[in-house]
Order: sequence, then structure tokens, then C-alpha cells
Amino acid sequence: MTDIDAPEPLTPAVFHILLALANDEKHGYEIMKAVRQDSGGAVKMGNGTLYGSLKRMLADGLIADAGERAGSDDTRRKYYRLTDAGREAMYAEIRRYRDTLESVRRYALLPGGPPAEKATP
Amino acid sequence: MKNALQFYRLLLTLYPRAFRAAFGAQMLQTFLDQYADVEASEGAVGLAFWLFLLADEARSIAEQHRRASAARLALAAALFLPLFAVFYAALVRVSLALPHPPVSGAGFLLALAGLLLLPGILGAVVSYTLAGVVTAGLAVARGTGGIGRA
Repeated sequence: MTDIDAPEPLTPAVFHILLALANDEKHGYEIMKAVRQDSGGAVKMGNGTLYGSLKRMLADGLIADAGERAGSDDTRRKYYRLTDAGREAMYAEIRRYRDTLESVRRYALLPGGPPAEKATP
Repeated sequence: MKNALQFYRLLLTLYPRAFRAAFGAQMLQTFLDQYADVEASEGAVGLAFWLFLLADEARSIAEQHRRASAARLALAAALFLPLFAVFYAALVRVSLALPHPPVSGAGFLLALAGLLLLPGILGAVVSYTLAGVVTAGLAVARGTGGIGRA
């Protein structure tokens, strides 16, 4: 049965941006670096994808403008922060991943073969 | 670095005006940060950097134009009928106030077609222009902190 109240699954770019902003406010390039690092290089986000995603996320209320600040090089940059709705969407996506992983475990589909208890006679 | 910056500035002009107004300056700064970082860590900025950047920007420019057109057309469609009604009413008022020479059947049909066509064209042009102004304003407000201030 489908849970009609469950939020829509997030795109990988949006989910990784939410993760990057989970603990502190960041500017564009910090978000880009955090996404690459968090995904182990699997999600490489260019400028266009990053700002296209930020635009949609601002419109959806998942993130908010946290104002402009000067960094260590004295250049002013715009920072972004997670909103309550954004945090909620992130946790919903994490729960979805967890449920999927549980199903994968139940069907013994994890890479490396069946679970240890089934593999040993 | 100077040539790269000029090239990226040129690339940004391909985005819709509203998107550029909201995010252009930030995108330029992020490009500078990224470029400086790659140059510092790898000694030079190679072909792979440019290929990735061009592919990503091309996808994003197309996507932003698609979104901007869709939003503008939807708003224009919503504005069209009320504007058509206003222009139609104004045209009927003006035409009734003018002296009416006797016209043939064909002339009457032509006048009737003009009475519908003129407000239709005016309504389409004005609603599309208005929708462009409104969607551009909204996009700039969202991009520059119109939502959820800190």
C-alpha cells in the first residue's frame, strides 16, 4: 500500500545538499566540496546543477538564505541554511534509505553474497 | 585566470535573465573558488575540468530556460481571459461611440472578426509581457532572500 502522506523522494543532488547543510551554514563552493566528499566522489556537482538545485530548494522552502559574510580571503559570499521543512525532508529520505536497506538485507541481496548465517553450514 | 573568468561570464549570459539576476554573482564567485582550488592542487586547469563544466552548464541552461518558459506560459494563460474581456469591452464601447455607416454582410462579418481578433492579439501580447515581468521579479526575490530570512 502506498503512503499518500509520505513526501516525494528527493533527487541525489537535493539530498546531498541537505546533508551538506545539516550541521552548519555553507556558501556555494563549500556545499559543492561537501557533496563530493560525503558521496566519496560519486556525486560531482557542477555550478549549474548546484544553483539550479538551490533555486528549487529555496522555492520549496527546504533551505533559506542565511545572509552574506566575508570569508578568510575577505570576499563576501552568500550562505545557505537548512529550514525545518528541509530537515524533515532529509530525515524522511534517510528513513526511506533505511527501509530499502532493510529490504535488501531481508532478501540477502547485499553485495558479497548471502548473509553470514546462511553462507555457513 | 582572466580569460577563464571572461569565458564563464559569457557563459552566464546564456541563462534566463531572472536566473542570472538571482544567482549570477554567486555562480561567478563559486567558479572562481573552484578554479583557484584546482589550479592550486593540480598546478593547472585541464581539459577534464572544462569538459565537465561545459556539459553541466549546457544541461542547466536548457533546464532553466524550460522552467522559465513553462512558468511564464502558465501565468500568461491565466491572465489572458481577464485581459481579453477588458480589451473586448473597451473596443465595443469605442466602436459603439463611432458613427456607423451602412455596411454589407461581408463588411459586417469582417468587423465582427476584427472585434474578436484585436482584443485576442492585444490580450496575448500584454499577458505574455506581464507574465515575463512577474516571473522575473519572483525569481529575483526568491534568489536574493525573499524566502525564509535568517
